[in-house]
Amino acid sequence: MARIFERAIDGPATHAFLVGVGDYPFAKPGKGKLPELRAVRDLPSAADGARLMCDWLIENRDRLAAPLASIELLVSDPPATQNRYQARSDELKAATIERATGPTLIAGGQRWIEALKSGSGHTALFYGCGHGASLAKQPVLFLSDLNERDEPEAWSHFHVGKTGLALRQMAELRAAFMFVDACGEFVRNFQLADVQDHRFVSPRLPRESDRDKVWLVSAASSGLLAYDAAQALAPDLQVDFEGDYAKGGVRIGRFTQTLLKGLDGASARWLKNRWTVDNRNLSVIELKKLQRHYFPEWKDRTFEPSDGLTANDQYALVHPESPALPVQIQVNPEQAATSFDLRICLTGDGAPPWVRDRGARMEGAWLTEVAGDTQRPYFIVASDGISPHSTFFKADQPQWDQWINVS
Amino acid sequence: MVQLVCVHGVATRPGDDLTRAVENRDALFARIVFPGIEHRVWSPVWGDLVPRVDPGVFDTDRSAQSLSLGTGGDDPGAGLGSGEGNQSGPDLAAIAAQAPSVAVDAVMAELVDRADAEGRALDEGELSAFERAATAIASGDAGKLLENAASDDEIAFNLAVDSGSYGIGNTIGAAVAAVTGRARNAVSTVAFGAVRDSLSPAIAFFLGDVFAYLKDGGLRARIRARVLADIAAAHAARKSGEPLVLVGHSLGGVILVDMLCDPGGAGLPQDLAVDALFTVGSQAGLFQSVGVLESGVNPPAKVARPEKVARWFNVFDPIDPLAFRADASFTGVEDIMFDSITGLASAHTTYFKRPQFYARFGKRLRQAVVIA
Repeated sequence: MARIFERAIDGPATHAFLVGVGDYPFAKPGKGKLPELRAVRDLPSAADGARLMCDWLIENRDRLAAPLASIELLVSDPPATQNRYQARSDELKAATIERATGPTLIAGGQRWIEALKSGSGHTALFYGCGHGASLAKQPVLFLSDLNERDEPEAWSHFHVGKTGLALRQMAELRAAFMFVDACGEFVRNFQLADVQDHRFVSPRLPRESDRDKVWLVSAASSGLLAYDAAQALAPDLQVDFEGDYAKGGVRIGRFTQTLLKGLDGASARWLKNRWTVDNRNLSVIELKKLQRHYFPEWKDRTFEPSDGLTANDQYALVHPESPALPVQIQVNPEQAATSFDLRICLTGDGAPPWVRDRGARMEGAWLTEVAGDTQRPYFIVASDGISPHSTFFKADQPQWDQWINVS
Repeated sequence: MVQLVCVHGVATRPGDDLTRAVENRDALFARIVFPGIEHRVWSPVWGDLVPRVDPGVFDTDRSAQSLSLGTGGDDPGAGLGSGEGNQSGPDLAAIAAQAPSVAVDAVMAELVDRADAEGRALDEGELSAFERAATAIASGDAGKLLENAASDDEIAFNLAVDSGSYGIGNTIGAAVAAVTGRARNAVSTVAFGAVRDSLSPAIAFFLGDVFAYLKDGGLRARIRARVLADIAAAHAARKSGEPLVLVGHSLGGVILVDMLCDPGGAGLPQDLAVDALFTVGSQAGLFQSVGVLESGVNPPAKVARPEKVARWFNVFDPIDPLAFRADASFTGVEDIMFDSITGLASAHTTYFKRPQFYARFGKRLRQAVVIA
């Protein structure tokens, strides 16, 4: 059973389709049909990413701009059992989840489309995580039956880009958000094979109702790889390299972690008297800023999210409550940073209590966060013990570029 | 900070190919030899000073080219025969069972070769796999890396590292297949044509560059001036107690030894002190034995290690036809040999693409207390 969450909503609602492909049993040494597909690693993080997204949706069911009405979930779990994500919601804990193969994808996708067509003004949300590639500059997601059958069926995949094009033509739909945490690499034999994707909805010839209401964003642009990283669920975990935790930690796709950070409120703006995360502000540019701000240890491995399809209007996705907003503060001139204590205060004189204290004088930008507040300003105070310098900002959106002059 | 000056060898000309190869080489130095150690790599280029060789001079036997395998299609590994050729020889698993470090080395060299040929940087998965291979070779555990790997599939799977990537691109599998193909074709008489085709220009470039360098006059001075500029800059950039390491590949090693044997004439800084000199696949020993270096010593007398050099390591692959021992002509040099199953033609060009090299390079630097 793929539908693990369902409730009646009176009016426009969100219908989600989540696919996590962590198991590739036919793409192993001595297995499957194509030799070039016999060294594919399992991805526990892809299965766990789909579960995490599922929990997030259920927990935010009433904060979504269109309340959550249903979730179709497919997860192929690898044998690995250590350091795995543990479901939080009762619905997920109780669910029997189907694997993500070609046939189950079509069945789950058809139910998703039926739900979206059941009324007017619904919102579609797709999340997919697993091994992927780029085909004609659009993301595809490889499924668990990869390499089970002879070519071209060996390349079992879901063409997310084509599905996005089809959703643009669905007149009943208000908007669609499609997130793909997968590589955009160029796989030569996949490109050359006469492949056919598993389809449950197909784009038709362009017609008047084809509208740019689908935002499709993937973890990597064409030719680039996407990676996962462990989440530090225990305070004593030591970072080994680029978010690898020698002592454990649940691995989740970096794109997924960053996306959820934004959806949780780090990308919120105060719009029309409420906090809102929408497609215009949670852009690929902001995703990169969020990554650099919250996950600065990811330095060497690429993080290059890319738009596959863009929407030409502003579509709210979620209305977070009490968001924490990122603040990036730099001292001007930069070389003076090591001479000043930096604090965020509620008054311009720098008197305690402080909202945030950098703790030590150091080079570089100060990456911190404050609670969103549309009423009172925050003051940034730089003090060298002689005379404080201050400036202020209003925390009604992320503050990526706050400078304090000390000269 | 470690200052590392790498002087290239013969048949190296500026361009995108060289730029990419240097980037990949430097990425491997950073990852395997200097992890967490501040360092700067200087790469003086002198190849452009040497006149171009007319490719027509290699075309000594057109009919020989028609005998090359031709079964590789667009397989980039087809240069010395593809995996589709003669199937009667040993596969990589058989080689791995006898000499695992050699097998691992060959696959990783192929991996870097392919990245260079495709004009791309090594990706994270490839760097991680290379790093793990070098670590295993350094600790004598290459066998464990290939434990229970009885087929190409299993070797590729074992050598790949879980880098957290969401990609399925199996570049290591392709490298394994290419090396197996090469091993099988090593017993093929047909393959000799391919070897000869590749070797002839390599030898010609070698001879051309050597003659150009050895000819007294402006060209030799200009080549030495290029190298001197980077050595002097690296020397000036180092702070007290920071190490300076010189690496010369092929003729680059000859140039370094030639300059270090006559530091005054070469214009080297008077207070220059080289912590370690590596000549790699080089001919310093050969040239000294025929008396064409600026050592001031006539053969057969041996020349002492240059005074400014604390440790000198001469690295060579026994099947590299362009590499020579140095200890027959010099004292105070340590000759270091390592085996490979790379082809005759590629032995000379793959040193910087092999985990064995980086593993041993790092080990020697630590032994010499150049790095911790």
